[in-house]
Amino acid sequence: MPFYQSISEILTENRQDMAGIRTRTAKVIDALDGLGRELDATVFLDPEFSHNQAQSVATGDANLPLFGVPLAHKELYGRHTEAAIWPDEGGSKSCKGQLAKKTATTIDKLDKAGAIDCGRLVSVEYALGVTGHNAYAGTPKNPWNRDYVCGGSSSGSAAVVAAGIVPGALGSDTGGSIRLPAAACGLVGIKPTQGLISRSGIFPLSASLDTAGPLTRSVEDGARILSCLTGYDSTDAMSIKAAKIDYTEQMEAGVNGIKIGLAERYFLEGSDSDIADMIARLFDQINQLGAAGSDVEIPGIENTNPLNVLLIASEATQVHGNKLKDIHSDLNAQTLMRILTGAFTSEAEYSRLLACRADYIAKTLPVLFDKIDMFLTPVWPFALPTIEQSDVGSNPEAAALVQKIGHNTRPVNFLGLPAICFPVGMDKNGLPVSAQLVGKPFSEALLIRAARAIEREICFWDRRPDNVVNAG
Amino acid sequence: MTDKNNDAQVKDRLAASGISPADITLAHETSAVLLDLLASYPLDDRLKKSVRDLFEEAAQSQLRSAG
Repeated sequence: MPFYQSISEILTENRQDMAGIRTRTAKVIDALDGLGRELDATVFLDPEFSHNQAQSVATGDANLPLFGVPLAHKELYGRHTEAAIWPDEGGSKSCKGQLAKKTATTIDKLDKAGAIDCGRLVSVEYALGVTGHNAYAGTPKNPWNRDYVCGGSSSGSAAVVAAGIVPGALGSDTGGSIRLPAAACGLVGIKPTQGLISRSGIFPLSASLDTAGPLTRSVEDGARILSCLTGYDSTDAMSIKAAKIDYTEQMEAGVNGIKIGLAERYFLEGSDSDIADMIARLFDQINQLGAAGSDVEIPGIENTNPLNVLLIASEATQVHGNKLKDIHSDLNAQTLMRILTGAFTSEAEYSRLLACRADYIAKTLPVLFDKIDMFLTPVWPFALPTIEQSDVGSNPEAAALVQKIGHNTRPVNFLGLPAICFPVGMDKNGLPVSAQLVGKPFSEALLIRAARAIEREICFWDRRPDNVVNAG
Repeated sequence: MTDKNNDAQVKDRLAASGISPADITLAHETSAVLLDLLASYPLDDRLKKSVRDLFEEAAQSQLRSAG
């Protein structure tokens, strides 16, 4: 049963009827167990834990920012309870039965903000995949049309939020894994600046590139969750002491005066013309709202996509490579190939790769953001494929298609920049099309402000895949 | 990860782990393309800062302007 409630609506109801938190939690768990499993999105529920948490929150501080708000998260997010039954499988048969030994810092922060943790959602194996296919844990179906992919790797998170079961879910983004599923399912996805949010306690893929962030149905809900997640964490080597910001504060200030660039070369030219045209029209629309638009050129951006692939592969091999003898037969062919590819990176090459990334960032960002505050690109470079069309396992010809999916997202990870993606319309098949705004380091507040102004114009929030969800 | 670039050693280790020769060859070819691109990057050795250093500076700058 979908609910489609915003965090703001839930908070209002919870503060009027604190006992209702337990009832809502029970309904959400039922929906995750029913519709969530129908969509192949739910991977783990612990009703006893969630009900106890709801009971405890309901008798606590009603002013908490996520007081009694039900959430569920990508399976990579650890939670250690007394019963020690929460999974830590990384979406992989190779880790079957592995249990979380600690609670992720982000999950702890959401607990402290009063959220109710309702379970775990399907991830692509090791978070290494952009379509959402997972033969072991399940391939989530897109609520807008169940024949289509949810995108990956935070596929289950996107499916249950788009289905209206929970208002938000955490995902992780190393090459686009928050933005691609958010975009595929008509959601808002926030990939934060590298170092803003702790990754401690999250199943690792790439020590340099992994980031954590929310998928929600609105910019406001994304801002509310993001505000609870930030803060320095000494247990994450990449964590950075940054300003603590309430991202909802300036959210309604509009785009007037914000300098937005359109990255035509590489991003628009690398996307199908119907998608590129939609983004170009959106750019005009944003300018009419008062933004100061201009074209932007990012020298060398075309190399960042393959270098990001190399960095992910090299670091994934550091995490999983020493277990290959025991696990290789349990891995899907694509995961195995990525890890094998990374095995050929020597220590000297890895050091050079890190140095090249730092060099590129140091040279590029001052020039790129000299005249603009952020730039606009598509997320998916073409209309969403169906689950069948993009199944590399059964259709080797799909490999070329799948390889292109991260074209617009991976460069952002390589640059370490924050990005927010949001739906802007529908494609020829009735599936969502999304754009992303990419900003300076730690400019999440400005990105949220701009995305909110666009959201107000487009009103995608009112569109729901109800018929598809209810049609089963 | 190897101390130095020794592809033959890596291939032997992967083969000993039970990886098929076809998979090893494909991974090696894919890696070679990516590592060639890396080698062609005009790295400026004068920059001694890490990515983390760069982002820490950006965060500090934001804190200063906010304060």
